[in-house]
Amino acid sequence: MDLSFKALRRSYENGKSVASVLEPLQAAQKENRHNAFITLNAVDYPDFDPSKKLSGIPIALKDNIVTKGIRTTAASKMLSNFIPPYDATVVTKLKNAGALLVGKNNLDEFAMGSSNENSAFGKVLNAHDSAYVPGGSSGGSATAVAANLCAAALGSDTGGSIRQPANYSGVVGLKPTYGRVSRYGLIAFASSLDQIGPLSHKVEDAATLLEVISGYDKNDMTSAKKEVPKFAKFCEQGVEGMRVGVPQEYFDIDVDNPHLSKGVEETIRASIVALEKAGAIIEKVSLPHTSYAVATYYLIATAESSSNLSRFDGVRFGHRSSSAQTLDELYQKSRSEGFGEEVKRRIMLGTYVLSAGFYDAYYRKAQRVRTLITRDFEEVFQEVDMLLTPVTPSPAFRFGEKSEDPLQMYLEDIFTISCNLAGLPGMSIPFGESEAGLPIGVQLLSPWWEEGRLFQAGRQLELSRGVE
Amino acid sequence: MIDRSEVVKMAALSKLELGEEEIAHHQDTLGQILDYIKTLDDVDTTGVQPTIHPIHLELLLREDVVDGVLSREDVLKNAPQSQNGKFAVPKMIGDT
Repeated sequence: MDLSFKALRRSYENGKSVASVLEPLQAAQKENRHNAFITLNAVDYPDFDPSKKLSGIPIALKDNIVTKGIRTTAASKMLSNFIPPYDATVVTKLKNAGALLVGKNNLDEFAMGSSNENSAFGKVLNAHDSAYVPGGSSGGSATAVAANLCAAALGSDTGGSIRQPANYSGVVGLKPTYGRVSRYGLIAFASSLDQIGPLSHKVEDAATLLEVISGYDKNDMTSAKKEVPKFAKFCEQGVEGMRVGVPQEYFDIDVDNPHLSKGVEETIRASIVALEKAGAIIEKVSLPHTSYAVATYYLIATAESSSNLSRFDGVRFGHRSSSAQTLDELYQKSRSEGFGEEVKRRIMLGTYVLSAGFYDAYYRKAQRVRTLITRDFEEVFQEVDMLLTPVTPSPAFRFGEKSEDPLQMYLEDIFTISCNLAGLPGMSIPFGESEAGLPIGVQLLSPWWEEGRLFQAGRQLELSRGVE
Repeated sequence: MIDRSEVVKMAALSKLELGEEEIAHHQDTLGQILDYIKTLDDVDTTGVQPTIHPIHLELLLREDVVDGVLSREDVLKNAPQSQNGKFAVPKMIGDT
């Protein structure tokens, strides 16, 4: 069944009931063959309401977005029984637009991971081939869309956690400009990097969802007072005359940059040709600090996460150890029992780089390099309207291939994390396939607040592949 | 590879208890990561301001009125242990 928003709306307008669309989806969600869901939501079947943008549209939520009365775990033992007393702002907005919230998606614990192997609720399988990872950390959301279990999902992206699983799973994934979408009710990982965004079948659906979830929110002081454009309109505008930059550093190979696989290179070349044919002007550009992005990111993200995750102390909510005798033991044992290995690693690293004697050498240094990485983008966007890059060096990898080597796993994020450090919007769009038949996407990056350009070019790439 | 004592110190600062096997594992993985992070030493950041936040935000003020407060009952529903409408914890003062 075609679960794009337009197709669903057309069916409802032609008299199909919400129940007849939802029931088969719910059966498949219940079967949970790919382990994409942690919790399913009991949905009643409302009548179609044409005045609402998302009436009858089944949407899934990454399980680090809090939902009133529905368990929200962040895929951690720490929160395995947590029932939030309030809704995240994006959840309120989706409900007001008529969306049906079908369930909560599996993820890497506290959104820390690139393969969805770090979940306390078990790994998620790639919808195209179950021997492969779906990507992470929004792996459950990407799989739920790719396996046609919902029309779209919301994920969160701190260093690529929407775009990378979208890329591995063959769906559209958008990370909005930092501040475009309220983070109120998103379980915080790294507060200066986190942003909620959509994963969908079509570019236009991502645009529609962004329209719904964007906007200033008094409950998030980092949400921006910016007008929310009619994003879906950009899908019709084409790319005639648009200057598209291809950063050379993303293709140069050195010790830090894992080799670009043949499939990825071919996909990027094909996407360049497609945009050129549609009237875009392609230019080579340079982002000289690219190779420092992973180190910078893993300093800033872990530092912020060590602070954010200090709230999990076994006192007010979350797991409490039953064997603690003193308050200090209560903290230590509750945290040690509640957090998984990767989360512990990042908390320790973050605590270390913020500790006395290391703060300037590590954390302050990373913040300065972050400025240089951002400047690279400021300069390049004087020359071009948008950037086109790979999403990851290779398509999805096999389970276990990188899980023993955290550094190799981190290096997987090389092409996605600069965007978060600079606060830019970015989108992953399926465009090719590997020899093994796994999806490969391309990444588009635009200047701050110019998500519209991503939809213009993204839709153009869809058209060139014959997507209706 | 970093020293065992460094991992133990990191764990203590992070309020985490690690078993011997975990300590050995983290000596290895954290050591590799910290080595990698040293690549930043190659970047000249003289005179570069640190970025604390990615976008320039207007500081918005609001009226100083209380709203949207969760009820005590709702909040305590998620508490591992509560007593008399408050969070309960083990005895605070240890023997040391």
